[in-house]
Amino acid sequence: MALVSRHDARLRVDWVLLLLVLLLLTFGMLNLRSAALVEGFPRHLTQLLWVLIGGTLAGLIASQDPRHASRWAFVAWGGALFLLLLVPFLGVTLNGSRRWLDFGAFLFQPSEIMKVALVLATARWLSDHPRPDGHRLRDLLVPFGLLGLPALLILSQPDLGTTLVMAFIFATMLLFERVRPSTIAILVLVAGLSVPFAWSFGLADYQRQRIATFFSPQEDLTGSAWQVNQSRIAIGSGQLVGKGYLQGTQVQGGFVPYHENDFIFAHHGEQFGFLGSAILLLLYFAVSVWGLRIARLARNRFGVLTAVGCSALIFWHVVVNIGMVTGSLPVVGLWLPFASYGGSAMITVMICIGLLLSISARRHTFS
Amino acid sequence: MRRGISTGRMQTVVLFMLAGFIVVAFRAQYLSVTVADEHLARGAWRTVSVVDVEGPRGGIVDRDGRPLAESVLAYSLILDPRHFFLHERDRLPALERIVAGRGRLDPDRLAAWATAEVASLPRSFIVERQVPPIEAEQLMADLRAERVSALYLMPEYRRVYPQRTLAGHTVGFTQHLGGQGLAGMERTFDADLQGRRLSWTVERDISRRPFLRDEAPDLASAAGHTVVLTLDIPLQRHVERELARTVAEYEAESGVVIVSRPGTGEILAMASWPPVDPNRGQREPQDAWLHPAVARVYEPGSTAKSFTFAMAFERSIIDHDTEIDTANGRLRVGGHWVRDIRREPSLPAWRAMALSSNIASLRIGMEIPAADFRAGLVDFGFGARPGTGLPGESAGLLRRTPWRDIEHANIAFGHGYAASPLQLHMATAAIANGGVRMRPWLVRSVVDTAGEPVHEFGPETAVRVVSREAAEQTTRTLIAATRGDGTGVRAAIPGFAVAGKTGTGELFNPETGQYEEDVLASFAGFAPAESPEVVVTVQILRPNRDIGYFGGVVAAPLFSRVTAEALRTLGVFPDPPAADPSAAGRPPSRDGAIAGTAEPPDQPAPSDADVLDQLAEGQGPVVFDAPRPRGSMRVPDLLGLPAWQAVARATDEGWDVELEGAGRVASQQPPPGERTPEPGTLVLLLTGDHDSPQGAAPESRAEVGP
Repeated sequence: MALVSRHDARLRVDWVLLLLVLLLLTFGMLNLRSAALVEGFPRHLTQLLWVLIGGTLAGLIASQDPRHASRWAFVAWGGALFLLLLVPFLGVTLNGSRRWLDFGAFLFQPSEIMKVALVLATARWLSDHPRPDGHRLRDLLVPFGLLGLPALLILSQPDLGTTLVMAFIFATMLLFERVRPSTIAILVLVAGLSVPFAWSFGLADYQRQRIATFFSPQEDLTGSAWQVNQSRIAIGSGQLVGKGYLQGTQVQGGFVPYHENDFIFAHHGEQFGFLGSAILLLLYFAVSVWGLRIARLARNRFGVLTAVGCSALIFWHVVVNIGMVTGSLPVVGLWLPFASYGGSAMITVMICIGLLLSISARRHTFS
Repeated sequence: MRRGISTGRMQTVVLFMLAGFIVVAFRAQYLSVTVADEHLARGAWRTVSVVDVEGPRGGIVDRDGRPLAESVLAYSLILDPRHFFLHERDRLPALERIVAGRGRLDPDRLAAWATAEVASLPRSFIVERQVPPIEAEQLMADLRAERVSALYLMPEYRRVYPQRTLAGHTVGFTQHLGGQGLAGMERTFDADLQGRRLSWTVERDISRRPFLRDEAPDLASAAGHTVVLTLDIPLQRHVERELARTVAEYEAESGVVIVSRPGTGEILAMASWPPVDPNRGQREPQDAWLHPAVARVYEPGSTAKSFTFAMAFERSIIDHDTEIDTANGRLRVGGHWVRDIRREPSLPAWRAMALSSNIASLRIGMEIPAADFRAGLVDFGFGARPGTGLPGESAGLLRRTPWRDIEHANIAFGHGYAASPLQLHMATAAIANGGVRMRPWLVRSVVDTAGEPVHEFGPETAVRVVSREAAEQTTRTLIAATRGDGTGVRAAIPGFAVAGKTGTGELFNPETGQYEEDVLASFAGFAPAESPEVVVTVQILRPNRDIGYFGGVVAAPLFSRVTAEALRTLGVFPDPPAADPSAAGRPPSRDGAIAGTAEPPDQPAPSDADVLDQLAEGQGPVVFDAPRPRGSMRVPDLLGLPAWQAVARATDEGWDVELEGAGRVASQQPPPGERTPEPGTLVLLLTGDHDSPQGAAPESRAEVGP
């Protein structure tokens, strides 16, 4: 998979990362096989195609020096923004949201690719504009623009989950930059003040309802809390060791909506129980921390920030998704990396893995 | 290298991530262990539910297994409105199309639901019940095609009475949709008939369909027991048809005919007109459901003179030829005049019976002390319930002694007490049975699905009423009553000696305390007189006096037709007219005794023409169990017939019938016209036209059978 050029003896394949990713993909395929039984549609086979496409893409990226990624960072961001701008005009509406572009054979979600583009562009700009004495507010205007412009477009689709996770990724990357204390204080203040404002003006009704439901889940067990309640029951019914592979009754019985993408963890929890869930979480944790290790070993600033961003992308998706599926967080519609059914998500996460491999492979080379 | 990243920040972020994963992991642990235990303790996993299912109700069949009541598979169409409007709201047009014109789901209700709060909608709504399987299959296909999962079908059973009104009073009916038995044998044997309840623990998916992996219990194995009656359906049908004819001919109010075998007490037919249709159940008038043969009581009238005579023979008060003073047909008893129609100074005992002399009857009856007389009547079964098991059986009315003279006199010729047609019938049967009264035997057995008997019933002797000699002497006088100028001459059957007694009783109106103009015309008798095979009682209530009045005119011809048919059914044939009487193996002595009275024994009676007509009418003496020529049998064409007609025809031709669905015959197996060595099982697929068992016009009710 890793198409590392052989004539460069200093390049290393990051076997640990590869192994972790393969294990996660295996769990993902197992759960999709189970999801395929519910409607009788062979999702796992379709997904396999996306895994192959994503894997090839990751291999290509891994074989390239991260400098190429750095060179194309703004182009990628601009391209993703262009696609996002097309969505309101050409997009396809599903479940009340207009998020997708129809490419004939498949639907593509530009906001997904924007997540990686944002990581690259932010890493590029921050590495190009080092501030050893700490960023001031005006130094961060451009990075906030890189985040804010697509974020507004995505929020208007509406897609609260993607907007939030982009903000979280961006914030995680900023953690590794030196920012002046006064600037931090202002940012926290603005963020705090924007919450009630966003609640009133930035959210659609259904989003407000989901969040309200989250805080009082018993009020409406048939509507918005239905799916969370059902996925909780499914996961809970798996108990310690699970009901066994393909032996689930709750998800198999069709009780959990969106079981094949956002709620795929319900399959896992019901079939493999808490032990299975713990193993899966350990794998995700390992991938995230391994990403940070790659950042730590990266040979330049762009590599550091890109690796942090990719790790953050995986981490936030996992924690928010499982938090949502287990009823700990409001339902915001985020996929589970390597597991949820869907091409855009698989491509996005595989690009991240490709970048991590690329950075990792060149950690001992000097420019 | 390794620049730009402080170890402190890295550790912070790693710890933060660790915290995030730990929180999520704890959450999963909480659900999987703590909450799971709660759910398990409550047994509340959403998909697991215990469903009470009931096996089909057992059948009611005649002596040869022909169905009178059976349960056929049907379906309930059920909608889960909450599920529908939560998940399948966009398929509303499809739903509307599918349920259009079905059951209780009208567009208004759907529209109201569509705008209501989803959480307030019910989880199940019965759209239609008793959908026949063929329609159900079509529905299921439609639902699959439209991907409507909130509408689903649950199997259940539908109670059908394929013979329609036939023996309706005896069969009874169940609560709407096959619940509890409310009348007739459905009620008496309710506990045996009911299907067993099975608790079925099912895992169900969101649309409440049982999971495919679950084994559905074998409902058929939980079927209730089958009640086997002693009735013979072809004979019952014949009796009902003839009874209907007579009631119509004489514009009577109603009528009852009972046919039984004297030696065993088994009832072969018990008909009452007007009929009731079990398929209509509660839509028939409430009081119509009590079988008039056991629930209504009348003064037995002259038919009861045979019991007075039997008691007198028993006590040697008279013998066959004893002259009895009949006082020129007028006698004053206790201040009341008792009259005879024929004004004779005296009559020999046999002729007093033949001419139905009230005075002779009361004279010999009053020779017997009242207490003895009453005890005798009790032995004959009066004043006590016969014990068929039918609901609402009456014990009749029989006053306690001491009797005033006029009471004693009245009772001696059949008035002043009341009995149901069946009581009168069983008393007559006691004379036919050589003086031993049998209990009525209406249920042969209760069998389980494998055909193994659960309860078995047999002939049951009640009591010896009079000696064999007294019974035979009575029989001789009753033979005289059907010959010559006897009142019952129209009861005669060519080739057989018939014993029987007419009755023409004015009806006592308990409200006015007066006798009405209207009468109960009756005939109770048996044949062949010398070795009785069948006892038949006929009672016709309130015939139009302008058309016919006397039991000998209204009831006797019907007795003759029914008895002839019953004898054919039983395979009892008349002696060839030209044959040597001794060759028939019957002692000619009784005929001789009658002939010795100088009465022409076989004087052509007015009734003979009727009887011959009836015989010529087509059926003739058919041998029921005669072997049919091989390969000559053709499968009857039942296509398009309503179920009851199809079943009637098929069972008459000897087929066993299996029904699927309800309505009219859509297809049959084997197909019509196919040649077969002998009748086997005929499978009829019924469809549509649910109401056909109920919907036919009343006048067609008489047309039971092919």
